[in-house]
Amino acid sequence: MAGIVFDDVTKRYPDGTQAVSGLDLEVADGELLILVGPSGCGKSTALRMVAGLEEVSDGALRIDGRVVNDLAPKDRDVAMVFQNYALYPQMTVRQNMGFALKLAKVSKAEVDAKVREAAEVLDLTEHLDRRPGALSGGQRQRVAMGRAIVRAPKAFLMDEPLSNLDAKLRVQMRASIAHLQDRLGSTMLYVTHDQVEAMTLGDRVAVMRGGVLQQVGPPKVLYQRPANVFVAGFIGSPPMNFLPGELADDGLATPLGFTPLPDDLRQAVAASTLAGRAVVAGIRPEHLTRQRPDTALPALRFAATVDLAEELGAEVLAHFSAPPAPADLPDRALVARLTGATGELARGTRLDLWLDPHGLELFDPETGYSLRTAAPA
Amino acid sequence: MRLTRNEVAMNYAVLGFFALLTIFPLIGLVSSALGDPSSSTPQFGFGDGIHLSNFSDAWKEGHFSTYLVSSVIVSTSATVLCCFVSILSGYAFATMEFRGRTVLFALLVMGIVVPSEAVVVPQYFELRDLGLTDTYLSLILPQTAGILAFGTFWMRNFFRSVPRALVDAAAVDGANSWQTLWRVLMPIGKPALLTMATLAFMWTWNEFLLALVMITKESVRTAPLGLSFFRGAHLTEYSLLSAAALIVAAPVVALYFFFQRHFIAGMLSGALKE
Repeated sequence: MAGIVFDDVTKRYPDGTQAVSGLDLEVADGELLILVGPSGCGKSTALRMVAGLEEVSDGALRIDGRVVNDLAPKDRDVAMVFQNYALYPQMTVRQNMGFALKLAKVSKAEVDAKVREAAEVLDLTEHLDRRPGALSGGQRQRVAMGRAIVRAPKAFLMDEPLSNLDAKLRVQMRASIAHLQDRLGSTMLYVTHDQVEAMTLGDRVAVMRGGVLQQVGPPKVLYQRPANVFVAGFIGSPPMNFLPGELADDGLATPLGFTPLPDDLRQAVAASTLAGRAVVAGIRPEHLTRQRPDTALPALRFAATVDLAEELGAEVLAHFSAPPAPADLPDRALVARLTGATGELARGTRLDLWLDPHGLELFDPETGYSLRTAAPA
Repeated sequence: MRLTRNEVAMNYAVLGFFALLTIFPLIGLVSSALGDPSSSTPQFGFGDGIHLSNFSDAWKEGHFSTYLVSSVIVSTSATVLCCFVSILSGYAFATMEFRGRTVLFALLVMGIVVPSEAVVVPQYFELRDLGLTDTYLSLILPQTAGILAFGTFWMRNFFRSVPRALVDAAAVDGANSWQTLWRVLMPIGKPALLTMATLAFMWTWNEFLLALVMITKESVRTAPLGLSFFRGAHLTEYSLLSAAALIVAAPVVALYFFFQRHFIAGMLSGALKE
């Protein structure tokens, strides 16, 4: 097992498009790091560079401390699980799983033992002599995993391995991948576009957009302290609400009304150049509540008319529009995640909601960076 | 896509018509081959009995045992050689990045549209300079080269139809290009390869002009060339001629029937997106 380090890595295609720009990222030994982002953000390209399937244009890529930029895939000792599994259709499950070992000239008995062991872990023993075509999607996915496991590689690379499965199976496999990674203690770089998968699976999550790394951190940090508007909007479902705001008198004027700012935000504002100016305010749906938030500050209370109520059982997502209060701002769709006695909500219901000032995030409207985290140079 | 009953009827009518057009002369050939050898006109029907002796007579008099052996040697060698080289070149054009790939491929594919008749004379002089006329090689080499354009095009299309991830998976599993080709891709490519081999065998088997130009010795004469000499010697013996024609055509027909299922699968592979 070994760590993976991207040192200012750039991928440029011959036509000039830059898929990955100056990526600095470290996957620690034994860590499960998730690369997440919308399609075309460069996450798969980054993964394929580690595998050696794409050349590194600039910078250094290290596996286990060794620069691998010019190493062929076979000399990197990494295993990869592909989105569509890429199983060899003419080979049985046993042959698929043993192929890499066979190429590495491992003795037949040893290959057999390792394949058997992996098949047991993945519950594939009874399917060993079947071909991929005769297997279900979930079984194929497990064979793809097995093909990676038998090699006991330095690192596992997963390219959206669950995106072809149905929702229920995906949740199951997610759990078993996390369990497996934990059990093997292996380094794993996992690419997905699904932020729920990213949040539930990873030790740390790296968010990418347009080839540029936006933020790396534990899922909770990304959720609670997003570095910029993009991360704030990408992580979390439903996403964070955004409102235009004006900083004034230790507080913030929003279309919903005036809200005080907690101490840490006030300090962040004071340290920035934005005091007295316009900002983008972000608030998570769960910080719009029906009960008065537990704070000494004079929290903002406002009236909202429900446009749509999504009943999820334990909670209700109430969609409403911000009143276009200051001047000519367009209506903005907002969502509140309401818990407790909410059974009577329907379209047109009028609600009194509180805005928890401790849930506020402020972003520079020009750069998009959070005022809490100083913008990286 | 669903067809209306009228469309289905129309399809059958058109296909049936062309099938008849194709089969009709063949029936005439078979009936002549089995007809009375003393008759001096081609026959249609089996009125005067079945004379299987025509085949043995043609076989003996025409020396077809020698000619068929020559044809098998030439066609098999050209087919094997052409398949092997086409696999390699198609694989390179489909999966490898190299300078001038597009231009080279365009040049190569132009070979498909150059008729072999156009180059047979310079080929003759070239092979004569090399001292290869009147040998099997004088037939094998030009025909291999002639089919290579199509073969490369065909195999490249197959390799391009294979999901890229399969090649990537093999690379990560530690396979080099050679292992990826033979152990991962070619086992999937059997239908494509068999289709190409069948076509190549058929074309080389039926080749006449090249054999006529290159070969003068009887011992290396191919079957179609032999048939032409046989015709010269038995101009009006239609039963014997028909029997000889069937003898020469038989191997290719047999081959086609044998590989028919793969052949259709190969023709269709890659035609539909999964």
